[in-house]
Amino acid sequence: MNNIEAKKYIRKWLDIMQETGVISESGGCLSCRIGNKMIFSSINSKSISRDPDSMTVVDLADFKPGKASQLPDSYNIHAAIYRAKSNVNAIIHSVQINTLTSSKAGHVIYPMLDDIAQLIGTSIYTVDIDTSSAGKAGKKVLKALKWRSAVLLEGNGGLCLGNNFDDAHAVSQVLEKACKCEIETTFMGGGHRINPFLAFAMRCHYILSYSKEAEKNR
Amino acid sequence: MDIKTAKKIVCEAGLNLSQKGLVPRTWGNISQRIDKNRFVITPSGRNYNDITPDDIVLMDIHDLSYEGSVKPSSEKRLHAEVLRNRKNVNAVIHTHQTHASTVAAAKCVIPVTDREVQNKIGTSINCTPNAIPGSKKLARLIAMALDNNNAALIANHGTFCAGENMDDAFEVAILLEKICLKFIEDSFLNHTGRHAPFDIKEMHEYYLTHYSKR
Repeated sequence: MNNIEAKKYIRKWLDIMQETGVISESGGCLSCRIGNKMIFSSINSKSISRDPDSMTVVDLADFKPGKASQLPDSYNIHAAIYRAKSNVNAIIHSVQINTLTSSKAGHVIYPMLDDIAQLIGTSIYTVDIDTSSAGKAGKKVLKALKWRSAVLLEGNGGLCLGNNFDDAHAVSQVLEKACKCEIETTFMGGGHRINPFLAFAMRCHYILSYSKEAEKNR
Repeated sequence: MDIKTAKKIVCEAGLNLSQKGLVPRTWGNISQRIDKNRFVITPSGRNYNDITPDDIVLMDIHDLSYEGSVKPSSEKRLHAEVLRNRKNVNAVIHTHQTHASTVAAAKCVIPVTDREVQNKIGTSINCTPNAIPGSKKLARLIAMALDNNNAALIANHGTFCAGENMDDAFEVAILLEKICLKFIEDSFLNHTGRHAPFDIKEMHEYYLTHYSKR
């Protein structure tokens, strides 16, 4: 896939994400890795730009945090994730209603449903990136993402990682469900968390076996 | 029912389930009884958008042996248990629908008082205790939670919906989602002493004001 095709690919997913409410007119963005480059759907304060020319292409090998100062802050974080995690090729910054509220509340979210443990991991952390330099923010996010595929950014929604946009979209749906459970079970006397050891076993089983089933089971 | 028709019904139900947003991607599974000894079920790990009737797996209801090289859903045991115990049930849908899953995370039981809903679902929506997904224990617990009703919640997991045919099971799944949404809304209103109508923004503001860590 060349840069032009990749930008069209992002544009297609921008439409899908907006239709499904994962990103909105005022927030959220996407990025993907193409070879050793990252393509980032740039944003402005009012609306997500769909113009392929406004998308930024960055060489991940040369990238130094803070070098591109005119870009949104989260740009550095996306790049840091691609550099550190070779299996991640797509990132969605989700701003769905429950995800956004949980990112403002600041709690660590523990899985209450087994698909959350499988797809995301044993917990979902909220990271404060506003007060950090670009380099520190990237490190904080990477630490929170260890063995996990989603992280909440304080007051700013969540990042969902995947091997491709389809995977990242599934993570965004499950992140929204995790946050919904955390919020709404509060009014039902509290939710019941999955035992952490069982959650870890579910995560390992998903990564090592179930996620490959779609290809193998034909 | 013949095998070909049953596989087509399950395949179409999978697409329908995905389109209605009751299951994202590969989660959830569907089965259809053929006769007292056999049923068909969706394959393991496959996306509903790319399965064909040939991918649907024919299984023995008693020993869980299956035909062909495609592996059946890992929840096959749960479907078989319900089909064995409930002779009037011919179609079973297991979903991870969002509102019902949220109630399942709180392990709440929902009493059904509406006569029309009772006719479709039964007198109560019970929730199972915890058990490992796909295990014999969970299969037994689901059969117990279902009892003579057509819907049950699986703790920390999702839902199980049954029907005389696939259309009925579908109707139960959709109705269950509506009942669970109403239960969530009522829980918020009761918890806060507020009056209807429910407003989701109000709930989120209340949560942030009273339960935020910051």
